[in-house]
Amino acid sequence: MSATGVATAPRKKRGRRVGGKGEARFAFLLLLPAALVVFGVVLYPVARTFVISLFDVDSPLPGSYPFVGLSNYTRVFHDPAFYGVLGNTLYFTLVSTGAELVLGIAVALLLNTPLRARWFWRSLVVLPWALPTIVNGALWRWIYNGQYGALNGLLGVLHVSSTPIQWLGSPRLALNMVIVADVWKNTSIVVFFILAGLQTIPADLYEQARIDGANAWAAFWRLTLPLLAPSIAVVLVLRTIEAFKVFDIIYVMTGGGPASGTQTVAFYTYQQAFSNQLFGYGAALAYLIVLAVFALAMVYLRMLRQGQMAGVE
Amino acid sequence: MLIDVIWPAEFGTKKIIADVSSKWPASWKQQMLGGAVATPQYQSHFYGVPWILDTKYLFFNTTHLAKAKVDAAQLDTWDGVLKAARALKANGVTKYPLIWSWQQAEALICDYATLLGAFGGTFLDGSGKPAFQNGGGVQALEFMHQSITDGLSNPTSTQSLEEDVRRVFSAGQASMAMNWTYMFGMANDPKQSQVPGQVEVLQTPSGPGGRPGVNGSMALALSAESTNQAAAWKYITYLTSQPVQNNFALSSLPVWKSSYDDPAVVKTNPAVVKQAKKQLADLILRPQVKNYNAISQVLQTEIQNALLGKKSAQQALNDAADKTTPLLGA
Amino acid sequence: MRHSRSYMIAIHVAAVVMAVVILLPFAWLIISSISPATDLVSSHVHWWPAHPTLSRYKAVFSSSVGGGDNVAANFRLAMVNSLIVAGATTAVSLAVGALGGYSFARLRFRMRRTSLFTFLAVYMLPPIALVIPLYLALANLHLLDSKIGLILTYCSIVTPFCIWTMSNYYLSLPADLEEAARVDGCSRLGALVRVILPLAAPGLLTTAMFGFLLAWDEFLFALIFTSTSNAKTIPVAIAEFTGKYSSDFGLIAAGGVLAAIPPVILALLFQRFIVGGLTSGAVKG
Repeated sequence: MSATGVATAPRKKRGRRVGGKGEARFAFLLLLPAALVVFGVVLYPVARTFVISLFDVDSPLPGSYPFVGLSNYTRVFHDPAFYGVLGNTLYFTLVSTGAELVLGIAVALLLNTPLRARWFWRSLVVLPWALPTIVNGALWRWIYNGQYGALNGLLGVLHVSSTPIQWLGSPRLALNMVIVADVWKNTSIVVFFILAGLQTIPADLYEQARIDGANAWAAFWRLTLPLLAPSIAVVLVLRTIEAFKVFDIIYVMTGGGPASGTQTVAFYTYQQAFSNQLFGYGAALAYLIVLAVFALAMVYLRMLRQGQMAGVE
Repeated sequence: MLIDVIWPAEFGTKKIIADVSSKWPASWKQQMLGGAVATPQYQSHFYGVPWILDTKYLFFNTTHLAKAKVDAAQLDTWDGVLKAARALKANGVTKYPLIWSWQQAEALICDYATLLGAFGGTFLDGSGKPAFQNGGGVQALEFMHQSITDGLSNPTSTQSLEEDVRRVFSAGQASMAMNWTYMFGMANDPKQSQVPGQVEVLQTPSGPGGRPGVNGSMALALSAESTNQAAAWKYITYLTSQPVQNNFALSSLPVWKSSYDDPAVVKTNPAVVKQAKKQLADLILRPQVKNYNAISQVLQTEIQNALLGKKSAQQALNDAADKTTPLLGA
Repeated sequence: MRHSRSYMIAIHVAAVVMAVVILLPFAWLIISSISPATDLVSSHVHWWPAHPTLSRYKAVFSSSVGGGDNVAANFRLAMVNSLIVAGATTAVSLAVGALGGYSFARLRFRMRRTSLFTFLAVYMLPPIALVIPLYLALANLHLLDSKIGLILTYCSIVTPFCIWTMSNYYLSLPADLEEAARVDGCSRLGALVRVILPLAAPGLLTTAMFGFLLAWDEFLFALIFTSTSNAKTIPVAIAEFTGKYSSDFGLIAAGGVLAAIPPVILALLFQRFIVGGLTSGAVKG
């Protein structure tokens, strides 16, 4: 019996030895506390926000507002500013998640090698993750400062560039620099998940592969990566959700500028709802975000063939 | 509650704050500074009482100017400011003599408003349609962009807010800057600044169209739903009354004209009070419409596009006008 | 397994590179927190302050908490609040999520897909969307400006996260373990508790750590729902260091350094357990 078959275990082939009803009841019992905790406080607000999205609400006061059905949702697609915002968000999500994944796997693999004082290297990885997001944003904003930032200072000392570069001064560059700040902090999470996943791969599989003549690269590609697929799927969905929701770091670092270059969907929603008092429109935007993230998550799960848990395949 | 000058239009229309026009004594309109009276107004109704007056002044570093042999009197006009900046730069006093708060935020519109007024432009025309893309509005934006390309304004300005301006100025890395009243004290404080005692303040320089300061004041308003309206109104009138305001003049300048001649008030901050008396009488407002923030966001993006050289000033403002027209029509 | 020398050198070089990338910004944070304010804004970067100062840290630990004005002293209280809120949230969410996650991983029942999506949807919703109705709901329950209010709110975000991670973790465990236990006479619940959960320890700990940080880091809800040091958490306290009229990055940096310490301690304590690993036994079958 090998552990490799775990992720695609033929559960469908094995008959259920116990009746479905007992199983359903057990599931219900297990889920009940979770449902109470999650929906107890949040159900009403979630529903209320959805209801708000169907009305043209433009003030925080209770009162009667015109019912507009789904027109808040369609309005999004007629909003010229929205497409730029969506583009920024997609770019941010894909690039940051991709970078975190690649770097995270690389670092996790590194931490799995026979390094001396491994506990030290592993502890280092904790540091960026432990810093609160708003401090991280403030730190990088400071480092990137065009007048007295450390990054320009460092480049000057290394004689790479003597004129200060305005890191947050142009839309595309600013977005990339914000991504750098975000990746610096969040790669740690990916590292830990992948590292935990690596632990479930028994060492003798690699022995077997070596004996069979595979080199390191082949071992990685054909053995490690497929076995990591579950961990990758988990972390990919999580990071995508977080990237789509990204708000704190934008708020602190750039406020959406320059020239709306770093304006993301969540930030835009905040502006519509709170600065412009368009609560109905903001609510519709928020639910559209949820739909978009769902779609992306389904794509990932399909791609990584992890669909069986979500019941997709 | 305390609200900023950009809110009366929106909050008043949505009946979040109470219309207090009937409570306003006529005498206040003469006794208060012009800029103060305009603050809580919308469509000739009053929605509050002005309490904290503020505008941006021109601060400059006396030592820097002396080194470049620039006379402070030159700073009375924007042309003079540019000439001074060129001299400062040529003499190697500061690399970028001017620093501004031009990040994509409300602060950008405050600076733009000042310059728009100086060049004689207006935000909206008589019928409430955009007018900033004509005449003075365009010249103001071109002025801003040119100062960056000429190397007179620090390129970091497009990512800076008021606090960044203060820091750069207080570190002696800029010779002139526009900022709110608060910077005067802090820039002269040895614990917070590297140029204490070298900072002076002047009225906003004048351009061909005048020299209004941007109205960055705040007013006290009554919540429309409040059950204690009478008591709240009494409290507001107390807080804004002349004796109380004169007492707290150091932290916040009074709204009453005559206070500025009162020796006790002048003593709290002689340099600033002298300028404030002139400036606060002549303030320019940002558009008082009920969806001001949406308009501001469009303007911020387009102005940044021009400042970063992505569009010409005229193109940027034309685009802004196109995008805001439907919003204003509503 | 013997590795070649060049391999050992290569991995240690890589490790050093990684360490530099991680530590440089962090070092700058620490240096900034002990640099005087004027140093921070000078045009030449001061790599090390001529006169380092611990005044900001002293302000946090020594000044007395009076009124609402002393932001540094209030930071102390905020740290305590954060610890309590994040700790309680993690405990509840992990317990509840570990159970719920199991049902999605191993059990079949009607509406399984829908209910999973519903849980995830709550996690996917940007906090902005829920702020106002949630504010009103908490106000009605008199839970504003209270740690319990925050804990309840955070549980609703962290629990779906725990469900998602734990269910995926369960999937990586061999499928026949429960069967073996049941054959030996265990009830379904017993199999879960006595066989699966101990094996899932690394997953549980990882989930706990990250769930803790979700709560530790949360800003928007904390900002809106708290108003006094009864319940203000660290992110709110740090945000208060930046007023419109004064902002000292050094103070923010000091706050950041202090705020990072508890998570780092937690991670150090647990990292041995997480990566101590499953190497033999059940996995090999």
